[in-house]
Amino acid sequence: MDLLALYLTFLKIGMFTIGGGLAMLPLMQKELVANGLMTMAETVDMVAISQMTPGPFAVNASTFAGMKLYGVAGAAAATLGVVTPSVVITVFVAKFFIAFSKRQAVQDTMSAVRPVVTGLILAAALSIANEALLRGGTGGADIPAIVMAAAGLILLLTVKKLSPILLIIVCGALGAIFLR
Amino acid sequence: MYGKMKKLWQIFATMFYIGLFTFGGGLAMLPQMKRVFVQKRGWVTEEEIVDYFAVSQSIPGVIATNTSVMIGYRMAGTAGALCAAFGAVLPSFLVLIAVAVFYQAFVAHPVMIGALRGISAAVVALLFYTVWGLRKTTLRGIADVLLCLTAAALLLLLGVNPVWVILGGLAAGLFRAVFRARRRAP
Repeated sequence: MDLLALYLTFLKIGMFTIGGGLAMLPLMQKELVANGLMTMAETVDMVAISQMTPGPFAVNASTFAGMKLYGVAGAAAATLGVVTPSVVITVFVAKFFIAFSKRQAVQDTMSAVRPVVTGLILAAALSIANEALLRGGTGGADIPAIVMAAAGLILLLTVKKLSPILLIIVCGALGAIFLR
Repeated sequence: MYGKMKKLWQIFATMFYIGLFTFGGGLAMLPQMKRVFVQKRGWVTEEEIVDYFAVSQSIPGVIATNTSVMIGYRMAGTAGALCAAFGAVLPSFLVLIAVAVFYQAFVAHPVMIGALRGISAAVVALLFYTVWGLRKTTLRGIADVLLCLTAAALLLLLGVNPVWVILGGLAAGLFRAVFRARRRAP
């Protein structure tokens, strides 16, 4: 498989996944394992590493896979492939959406979609809390992490100017020092 | 010309910064985006960002990239969209290139595991805080609260794909739009 084929494989993965992130994993695994590019065990590593590193899961996984296969050129081909459909499709959608978004009917419609987005974030908060703080119900609760999350939430609610990124850096540093 | 280039650079640099510190997937970008684009720079409104997330989740592709493209496009057209997408993707790309080489040492290293436990705690706090912060603009009545809770329940308890949940919200929104239009024009 050459770089163009790699690009097209990841283009296909980007094009046929709606919902992003881990929703891409089944198709990605199928493409990579069925084509003999990776073993199932390597895709497990790919998932672990992609979740541990900053940025979108899909981009991380694509860069990782490309890098393993063909080095930096492969990483570039895979990453460009996975984001190409995003960029092309979204530019067209943005053009229409932004042109019509001021209309009353669109605003009325979106006023019911916005609570759903808040619901999605609530669901993400609860499922990450369950996974990270309660360890998915196995192995007991991670008490220091729960204390840290609660302290972080209180700080966010009381200190108006607190930057989310500063909180991530401080909690990461505290974790590296005290939770290892 | 200079003003335009400066704006494109700002879009790129801001997205790069946000991309570098986003852990936990597309939705976890929202607090950072809200903070920078809405509160700090006043480039877009909170409603707009929430709408972009809804649209981005419902179309193909990487959610974080889709959202970046929408914000970039809103601010500076197609050039803005490209700069935003490039900025959002580049940190991941650079980090993963570095990490892919020696990832086996990286995955199991106690310092990394500790740092990630701390970061996950911060992400949980940020996501709950974001829900709290969004209540004013997105939950404007008992019907909205019910929509929000129903969406969360469908995702968590029944494992419904988020795309369907958003399309459900869209269907509810169309009813609401028709209802309100009729009420306005008797």
